[in-house]
Amino acid sequence: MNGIGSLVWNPIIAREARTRMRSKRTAFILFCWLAALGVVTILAYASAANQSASVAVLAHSGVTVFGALVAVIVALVLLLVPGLVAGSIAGERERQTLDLLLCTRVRPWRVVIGKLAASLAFMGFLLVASLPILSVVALLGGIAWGDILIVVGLGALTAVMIGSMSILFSAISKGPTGAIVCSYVAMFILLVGPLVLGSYLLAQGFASGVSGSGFSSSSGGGLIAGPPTVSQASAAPPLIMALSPGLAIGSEVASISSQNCATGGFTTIGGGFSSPAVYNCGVVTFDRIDSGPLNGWHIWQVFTVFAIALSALCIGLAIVALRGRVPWPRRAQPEGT
Amino acid sequence: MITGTHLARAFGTRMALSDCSFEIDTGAVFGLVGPNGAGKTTTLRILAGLLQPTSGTASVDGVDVLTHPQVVRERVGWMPDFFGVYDRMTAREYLTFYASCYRIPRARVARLAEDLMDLVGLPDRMDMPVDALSRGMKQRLCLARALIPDPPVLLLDEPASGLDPRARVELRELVRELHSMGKTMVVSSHILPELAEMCTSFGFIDGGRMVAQGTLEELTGGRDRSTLRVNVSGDAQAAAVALDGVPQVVALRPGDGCVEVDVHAGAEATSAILQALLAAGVTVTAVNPVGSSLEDVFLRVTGQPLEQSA
Repeated sequence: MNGIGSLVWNPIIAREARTRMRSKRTAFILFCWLAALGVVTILAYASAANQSASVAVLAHSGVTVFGALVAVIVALVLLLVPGLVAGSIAGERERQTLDLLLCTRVRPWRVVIGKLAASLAFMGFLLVASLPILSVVALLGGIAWGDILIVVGLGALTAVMIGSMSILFSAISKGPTGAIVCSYVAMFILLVGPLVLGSYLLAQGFASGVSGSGFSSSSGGGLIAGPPTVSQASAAPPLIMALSPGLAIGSEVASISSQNCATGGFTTIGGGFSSPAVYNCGVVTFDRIDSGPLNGWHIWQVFTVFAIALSALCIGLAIVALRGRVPWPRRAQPEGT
Repeated sequence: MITGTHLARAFGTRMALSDCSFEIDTGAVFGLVGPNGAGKTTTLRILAGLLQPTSGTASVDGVDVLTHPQVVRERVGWMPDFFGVYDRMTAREYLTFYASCYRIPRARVARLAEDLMDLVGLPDRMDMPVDALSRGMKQRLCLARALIPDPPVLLLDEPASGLDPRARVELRELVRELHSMGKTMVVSSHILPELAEMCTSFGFIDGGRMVAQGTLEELTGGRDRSTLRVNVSGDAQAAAVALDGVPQVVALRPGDGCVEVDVHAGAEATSAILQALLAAGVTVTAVNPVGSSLEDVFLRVTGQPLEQSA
């Protein structure tokens, strides 16, 4: 084996996938996943159709269903990924099979990548299984494929980021329980922390009269702002808030929803954000940073950079932690010798 | 050849090993004997390349565990005292997985798995779920796993713990077979009789130090006497009379159907006793050593019996 084959060689992925698919729990997760998506799709479509019989609103129902599906998928990803990933390496340690694995030619980085990839592949499997339901959105129309890809990509990136954090806890914890608890806590902090901190800073700025505007969560998943007010915005709050996967995905979905109603350039809405100038859907969303060094960046772009950096950091630390479990020479021996 | 020179290992403030030195010849079955907490597992983990000694050096098959731990890990078959198995896998898949971890070519894996299962006596359990195997079968499967890269050295940590008598006999036979294949083995245990029957040399470890090492003859060579129990049919007193005057006999204690005889150490003592009894017309039904010679040596070098230490 050489070249690409040697690089991607990872027997752990195949073993994890095989044993996972034999578990009754897997069938149960798949059932619950599809049931949740199916129910939400039906309810969202029925809700949109009941609001009005007008053609314009019905045309918007695709966006409504899409928003609801994205919200459910993201929620399920956030719920499932820590549970799937955090127990993987810690479980090997608890079973006392980790040393047996490290005695072989599988290097620690392959263990980390293999465990993470196997769990994320299962999430990919769930997404593929839900394609028939997601195709309803395509049937209803109203959303560009590019937008769908961005949202799906953000969802996948969120899964990778949460998974990477979980694999780090898995590598440093003594048992799976501690790793799973830490992973869920970290996920919750990452989801809510930036929003709370950013909101607090915005409120402070608003109080001092520097910048800001009142805003709150919208049912569509994004934050909505009040009337455009202040132009001198602080760069920190929007940047901090953009680190939350909830805001990144929510703002993108809300932006898609707004664009589906009407478009009209960008308007500064204060607090360091700007938004498409749309009003006829009843809400104004923001999806861009409007100040500081990242002026003009989409929120999802900021989140993407952050998620990739955090994932790389967590994976690197997990590899270091696993390498520390057994002795290594100062200069590593060539693999496969 | 396996060597350890002044090995020490601290866990926090506790010294698990201190100044532990030993040499194990190629092809030997080395019994590492000591009570729980004596440092057996620590020694084996260092030799397996899984633990860095705090000080001292060790080499396995000519490879230094400090400078080339990864090479050592690949040359050693390591069987820990406690280990788990993966759920929802058959024994065949278990071995196939580890074979792929050792980068054994796929074309060879199926045959290798069958050969190893044959070797460890589990050919009919190939497609049985691993988690459904008995403790003894899991031990043998783990040994088959350790043999996948065909290592010249096997390190077995308490391989017989938790096994029933039959499984222990099967394990002993397996160790003998591996010995005949030329494998160098280090087998740890705190149960002396099971080691005495499978090992060619021994090392006594206590309090993190190797207090004695050598073959059974070398270890017992310093002792001037041993005790034999001679079972006879008929009058034990007559047997005692017959043995009185045999040069190798030091003391006699006739009992009910048997005589305990203290003799000068050496192989000729048993022969002399049997000849004297046969000459006197006494029917001998059994001659057995009283107690384990190894246990006596352990008692002598550590000052306390192994069971008490454990």
